[in-house]
Amino acid sequence: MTAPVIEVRGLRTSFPVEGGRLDAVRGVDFDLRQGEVLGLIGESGSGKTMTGLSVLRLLPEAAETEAQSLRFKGEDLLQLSDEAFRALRGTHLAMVFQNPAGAFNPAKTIAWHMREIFRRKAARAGRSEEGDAPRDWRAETRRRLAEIGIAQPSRILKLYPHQLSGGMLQRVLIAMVLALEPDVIIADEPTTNLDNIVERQILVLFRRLQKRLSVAIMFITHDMTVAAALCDRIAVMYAGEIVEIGATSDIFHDPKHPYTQGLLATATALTRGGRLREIPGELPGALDAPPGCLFEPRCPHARAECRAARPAMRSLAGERQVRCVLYG
Amino acid sequence: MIVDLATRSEHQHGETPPLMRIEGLTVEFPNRSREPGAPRRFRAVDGLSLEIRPGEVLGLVGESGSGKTTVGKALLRLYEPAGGRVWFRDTDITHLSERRLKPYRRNLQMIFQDPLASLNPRHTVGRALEIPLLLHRICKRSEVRGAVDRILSEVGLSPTLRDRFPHELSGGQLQRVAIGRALTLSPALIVADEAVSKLDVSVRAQILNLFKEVQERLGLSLLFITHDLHVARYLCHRIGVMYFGKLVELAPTETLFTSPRHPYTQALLGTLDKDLELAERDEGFVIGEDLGAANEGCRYYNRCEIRTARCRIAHPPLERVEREHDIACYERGSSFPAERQAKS
Amino acid sequence: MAGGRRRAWRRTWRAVLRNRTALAGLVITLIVALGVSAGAALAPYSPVDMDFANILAPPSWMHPLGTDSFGRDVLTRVLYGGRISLLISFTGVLIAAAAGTLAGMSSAYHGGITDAGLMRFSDLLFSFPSFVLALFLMVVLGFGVQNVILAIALVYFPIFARLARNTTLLVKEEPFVQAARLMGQSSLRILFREILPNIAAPLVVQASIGIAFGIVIEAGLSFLGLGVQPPTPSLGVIMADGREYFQRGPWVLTLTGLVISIALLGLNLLGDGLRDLTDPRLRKRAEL
Repeated sequence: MTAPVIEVRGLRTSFPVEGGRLDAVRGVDFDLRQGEVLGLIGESGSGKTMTGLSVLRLLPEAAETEAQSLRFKGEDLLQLSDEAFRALRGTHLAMVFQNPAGAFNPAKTIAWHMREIFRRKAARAGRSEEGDAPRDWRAETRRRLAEIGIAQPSRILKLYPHQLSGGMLQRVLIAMVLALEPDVIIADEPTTNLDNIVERQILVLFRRLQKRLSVAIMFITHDMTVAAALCDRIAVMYAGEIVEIGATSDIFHDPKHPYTQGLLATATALTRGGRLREIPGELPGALDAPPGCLFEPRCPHARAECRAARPAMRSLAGERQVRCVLYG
Repeated sequence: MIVDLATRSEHQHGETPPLMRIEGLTVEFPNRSREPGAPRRFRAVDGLSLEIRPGEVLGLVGESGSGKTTVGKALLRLYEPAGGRVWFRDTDITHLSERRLKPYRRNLQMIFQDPLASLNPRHTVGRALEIPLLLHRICKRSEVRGAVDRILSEVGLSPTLRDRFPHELSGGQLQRVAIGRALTLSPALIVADEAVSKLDVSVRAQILNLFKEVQERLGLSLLFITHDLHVARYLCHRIGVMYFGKLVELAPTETLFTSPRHPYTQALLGTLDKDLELAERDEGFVIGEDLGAANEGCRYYNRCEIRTARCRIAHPPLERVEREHDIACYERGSSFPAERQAKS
Repeated sequence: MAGGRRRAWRRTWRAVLRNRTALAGLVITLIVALGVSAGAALAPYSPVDMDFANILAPPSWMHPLGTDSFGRDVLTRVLYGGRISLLISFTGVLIAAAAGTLAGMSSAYHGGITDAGLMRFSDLLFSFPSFVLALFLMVVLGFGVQNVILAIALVYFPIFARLARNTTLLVKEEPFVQAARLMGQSSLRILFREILPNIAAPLVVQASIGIAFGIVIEAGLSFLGLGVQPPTPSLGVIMADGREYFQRGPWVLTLTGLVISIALLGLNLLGDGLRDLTDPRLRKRAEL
């Protein structure tokens, strides 16, 4: 088994809110392996976005992140200075967010942005000091844009970010990320605002990227069906913890954790008809987290021991892990 | 259940007059695109005709930019139609002044996509529910508190939430309040504009069930606007598919899912199976900038796989192909790939 | 309905206490306000009675700020004058806020020609530096307290109008306003019940800063003899006196100026603090 590209152990993030501290991420462990797509599934409040942001050091000052270990290709990220980390981000580690506009400089054309990407690639490869784009970058750019299905790339290149629709901008951003060919892509709900047809095409692109370049992708989403289509492994998060992790087909055919089961039942019920099964109740409030299992109040299999202490992760066959007393 | 829905809509056809009717509705906006050469006004909805029957759930499905939200808002006169007519029961309400529209306002309510934004952040939940009750004199001031509590229970919320402010509630709770508020006026029609899109999956089920329960119990009509076909299938009796401001297909739910005839509907349904291996194989599918708004012919021309020369001349009219099934296509979408049909 | 409101107030109060800028501003402003209201009344001296035996006495225990060229206790005059200056500024800003907010809100809500007209009118007023505009208005309207108030109101009217208009434009597109329309609420009700509470915060911030500079405008106008007429004290009048006798009694001018600065500081800090408090609170819901 190849060494993981990203290794996370004991990641915790909290930040101050009125009345105390909010634990957004409560001790998360996972590996991201080369050439795999790991899905991080959860609803709002699950901590999935926070996990991505914590790994990328994109949290506001007030947030406190700590981890036992956080490694990229064996290198300890925790030791890196902010400057060194910033050099990594945008060259080796790329991100795609739900709202693409933030990634663009509103005063520059799309062509400029694409050129930046090539510059960074060159700098990363050590091909030149500041990083010069190769001579044929325009042709390359047009090819990349056509690859994601843009019919008239030359026209798009001359435009400014605000002249493009959200969907178009997201596609251009993804073309940029594809062109960058990073080691890791962390994508947070990249297709949520897009139409079904466009979304599908982008998922195809991610898949292609994974196959051709062995890029490791961490795909954060709340959409089970998208995860099922794209991801090799899935980690299900609830209230800041990973409650289940395993191969996609395993999780979908045989969900172990009651929360996963509930989520899947809801997602599939919509496709098959019949009454929708609800998961009663709501997420635990920010500050009144119970001492025991966080899902216990809503769990149909809750027992007395669930309330006593937070369940630990149990390892099962086939690289499955579940955080539930039902499994030992 | 699915069989019931189909026969129900057939049963009502021709028996009771429609609750709302739109004919040739056109809604325009000043064009925000700063691209050189873009037209000054942009047609969000173009000559759309539709009717909503009493007690039915009509789905309006389309991507963002299809105009579906605009239809919902134009129906409620939140936008002023540039052309066409809107009827509520027998009255033409297309261009009525606000004052003359007021008595009809009670009958037409809306649930918005962002539950937090649909409530005044400075008002408590109780106040938000009080206002319509008192404004339309539905109950006396002394009875208001009881009425508010009743509504909260009806939508599955504890009456203690009455004193909370919107930012203290979760998305699901907020949407319930919004539904409760809409129900205070006992409307005949509720337009739900992507009402569950921003909610978490587990909460989505709760709210959908609430919609279903309320609609069946009170017999009101629901225009359910969504981009999610699954959600539409769960809730709606009939579904209309919109593309670029035009209605391209309209059929009872199951008919739409088992035998869609418009190529766009077929493409949408094709995305339901998220098998990417299959998708990769038909890579030749160009996204293309949707210049649909600019040309005179069929709006779907640029992306259509079965287009002919005829399609370029004028956008096809909506025509009946079989009982209760209308489509707007010259080619009648006869080629529905067999493998896809088997999978759905 | 009381429970929720009370909790909201308590939370606001706690937030104010935590924000040091707002707290400092509040404290200073309160001290100043207390001084000019109660202090003036409790002062043993009269602000106008002259005492020729004691002309231009430097600061001492008897006269903490010394006396002026007529032997009047400067501190007492400053307290009385401060009260008058504050009242003038407050009234002027209040009028500007009320009129400006009304104009801005309805202009934004109804749009069209009135909106365009109001904005051009505001632009016109804006093009003059505030003090020059005030000066011009005094020349046109004549001297006296009432006209100072009017001048301040006119200087600030466009600021409030524009602020109210811009915030209303944003708020009126919000779904809850559309919901109110659907409910059948009249435009007037919507403006006051739905929109106004949501645009009030920046208006209050603007008002506190406006009052601060209103004092400066009033002081300037009275200094030039165009505003409050002596012997009625106002901060500007006192400073005019002080300037004339600066060589012999520099404390009058400087210490009065200091008092104005402190009052200004307090109000500005309060305004800044309020601005801090009101903005980020709206973005509480973190995306997790």
